[in-house]
This record gives sequence, C-alpha cells and structure tokens, in this order.
Amino acid sequence: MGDITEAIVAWIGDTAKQRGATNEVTAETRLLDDQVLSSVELLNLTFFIEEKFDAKLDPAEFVPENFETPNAVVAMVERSLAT
Amino acid sequence: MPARCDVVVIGGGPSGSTTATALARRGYDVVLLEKAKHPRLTVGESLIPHFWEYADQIGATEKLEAEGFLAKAGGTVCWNGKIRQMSFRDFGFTRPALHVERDRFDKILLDHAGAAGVRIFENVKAGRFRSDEDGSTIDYVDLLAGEEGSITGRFVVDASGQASLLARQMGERSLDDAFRFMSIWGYFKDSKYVASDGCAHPVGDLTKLPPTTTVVSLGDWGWSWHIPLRESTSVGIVIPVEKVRSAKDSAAALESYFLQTCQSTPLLGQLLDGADLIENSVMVIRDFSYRPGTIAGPGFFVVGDAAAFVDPIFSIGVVYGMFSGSIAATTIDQCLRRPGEVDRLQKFFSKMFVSRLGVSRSLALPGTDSGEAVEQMVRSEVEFFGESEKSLMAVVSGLTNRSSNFTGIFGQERQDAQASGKFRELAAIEFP
Repeated sequence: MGDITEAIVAWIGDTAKQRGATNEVTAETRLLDDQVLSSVELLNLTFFIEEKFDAKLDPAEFVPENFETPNAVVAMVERSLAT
Repeated sequence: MPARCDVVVIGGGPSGSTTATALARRGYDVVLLEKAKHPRLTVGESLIPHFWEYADQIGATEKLEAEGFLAKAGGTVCWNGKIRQMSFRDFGFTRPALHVERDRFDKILLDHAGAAGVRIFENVKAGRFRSDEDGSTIDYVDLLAGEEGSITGRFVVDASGQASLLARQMGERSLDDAFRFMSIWGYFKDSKYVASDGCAHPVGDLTKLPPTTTVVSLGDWGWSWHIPLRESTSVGIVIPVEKVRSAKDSAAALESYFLQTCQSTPLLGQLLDGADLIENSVMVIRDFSYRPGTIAGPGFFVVGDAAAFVDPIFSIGVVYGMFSGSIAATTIDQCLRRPGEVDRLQKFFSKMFVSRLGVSRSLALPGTDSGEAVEQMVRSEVEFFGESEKSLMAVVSGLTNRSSNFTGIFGQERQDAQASGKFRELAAIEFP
C-alpha cells in the first residue's frame, strides 16, 4: 500500500474499532454501504487527510463517490495534491 | 461574564450544548448564553435512535441512560385510514429511540456542558451580532441584573432555535409560502397508547411494554402526534395556519379547538377516551417552517433549528441539532487551527448541513417544486447513507403522503424494493 492508502486505512480502522466495530478495514471496504463511518467521521477523515498530507480539498469533492472505499478517498486526495 | 473567549454559543438547547461541549472537550474556552433558566419546558419529545452517536461523541451517554427515559419501539402511522407500524430494530438499531421530557433531557446536556468546562450564563438574552477585525461580538442583556454588555469570541455559534437570531438579523429567515403551518399541543393524563403489537394499552402497561410514537393524519396535509412520556402523554396537532385564523385567538378558543380536533380524530380520539387534559398545558406555535439561509460566514456558524426547520413529523429535530452542533464544532476547531482556510473549511459544514436539511425537506414537505439543483443535491446526499438507513428512509417515505418529493428523487420502484418486509400493515389497532 502507498503511504496515503496506509494512513487512511489505519485511521478508518482505528476510528471504527473505537466505536466497537470488529471487521477489518481494507482498501476496498465499502465505507458507505456497510456504514463503516458516519457522516461526522467522514468529515473528521477529511480534516485528518488535510492536516496529515497538507492537502486542501475542494468542498465540492465531499460527495459519496469519493468515499465509497478507502481507494476512492485516496484517489480524491491524489487528484487534489496533483493540482 | 467575561469580555472575551474563544467561542460564544447562543442557546442552551441540545444544539448549543452539543456544540459547546464538543469544543470545550477540545480545550477551547467556550461561553454559552441562555435566555431561560433550565430546566425549562419545550416541545419536540420524540427522538430517533441516531442521536446516540452524538451523545457518545460528547461523552453524555451515561448520564442520558441513567435518567431512564422511556424507550420507544418505533412508529405507528395512521394516514387516511392506512395503518402501518415500523420498528427501529428491523433497521439494525441496537440502541433505543426515546420519548424524552425535554426539560430533563436539555438540562442533562446543559449540565454536561458545564461539567466539560463550558461557562454557562442563564437568564441572558443574546442581541445584536457583529463581526470585525476585533472578532465576533454578541451584545446581550442580563435579564435578572438588568444590565447590558457584549462578549467577543473568535466565532459565534447561533443555536437559538426557532428564534433564529442571526437569520432574522440578516433578513434570511424565509418562510415557505407553500407550507404555512401551525401547531397546538398539550399534555394528557391516563391516555392509552399503541404498542408495536398493534394493540392499544392502558397507561399502566408503559413500564413493561414500550410505546410507539403514534401519528394520525388530519385533513389533506395535517397530522397529529401522540407521544407517551413517563408522567403524561404529549399530544399535538399540525394544521394549516388558516384553520385557526377564523377562530377567536384566545387561549380558551384554541384549547377548545385543540380538544375538539383530538377527540374527533380516528384512533387518537379513542386513545384519549377517558384521558384528562392537564390544565394550562396547551401551547401554540405558528409558522415554524423556514429554509436555511447563510449558515456559516465571517465569524459565525448557525446550528439546529436556528438554521432551518421543516416539520416535526419524522422526529429528526433534536438529532439534526446534535448532528449540526457536532460538525460545527469539528469545523470550528479546524478554523481556529488553520485560520487561513476558514472560507473553504466553512463550505464543508454548509454543504453537509444544507444537504442533510434538503433530504428532510423532501421527506416532509409535499408538492413544492424544489428545482433541479436541489433534487441533485438530495439525490447525491442519499448515497452517503448505508443500506439499512436507505431502507429506513424507504419505509418512512411510504408512511404518509408528505414524501412525494423524496420518492420522486429516490424512485418509487427502488423505494418499494428497499421497504419490502420492513413494516407491517394493519387493518386496525385493537382496543381492549
């Protein structure tokens, strides 16, 4: 896994575990369908990413498609860092 | 009262308490201004189980559990004769929805905010807001001492509820012309109630058999609620404003109209047969529905009912208050740590809350033409929800005739498929 993917998967795993979830989180975990993260946690994830990778995400990117899986989140971050 | 702090929160209801507590727990100096003295009565007693997440986040769960509020099993809706029941358990909820006495519930949250380090000033009425290079300032009047003052923070959070302080000051509290409703409510002793077994039970059964929140339609778009609490039952009607313009506006006339309506409404009338209206318990509110304006801007955020309100029909008001308070606190924390990014960060908050409000409007507000942009926003927002939450919305949108906008966006076929098997349709509620 790349650095970004690893950091995101770890953050999501820790957050879900703190809430009592037991399933392992992978890069392909269905975050929304399986309700792994709540909306508030999605926002917290967004801010975590910004601070960790010095990213400035466009609020217009806060859409379900970009949070379907950790890989989708990574893709959004990489797009943002590339610009 | 200090002259300065990090964040000033206006309002000590669930929205204000949640925002203030979340910020205090992050180490910020928060001052909360509340115009009343808690405990104080307010309406909005039915909670859906989604609120537990926000209670957990601010560490208030144990205190709320300890109070022993009535757990509710789910909902009973009798709409134009069609009777359906749903239970939250069927959508994967393991923690209960509640019926809460709001004076108790709100006081627990407010006291919890105080315990978290929030400096709370009651009997203080917030006034004018201004934002400049000095910070965000709120003028106030100390109602007991009769003194005026002002307090400046780096941000002000408007959690003033229906008063919508900032929206009114900015001229943005816009009523929905298509949706001018009023509500009259009161409290009854010894009312029967409907349990999830599809039967009406005497009030004595409440300790062993949880109630459902019972909703019965009134006329074209109106409805009534029946919410058993521990010592009484909250009963209210939501009707078009015109209905009580012709009646004399006196308290006695309104009370009489309210009682008459309750007694002549199918199912509700039967539940209240033999019950007694508690004296002086009838209250009225008009035009409680309005749209969000600017909910985050230079030096301010707006949360809870202060931002917008549609209709209490699906019991989401307190949850939305706590949700918006939670994301406001998270965003304010970011704004204070990265002040160069405030404009952009506030857009996250606005987008999330406005989109969520859009979903609730589409569920509760029939017939208005929301337009393509709003439809797209709701269509997108719904995809944030997981499968069980989508099933819940699919069931809820089929319970009344209020959700046509939502059904249009979600799709009737998809709605029927997701709702299938997750509610019960009954021929009648059985009475002893």
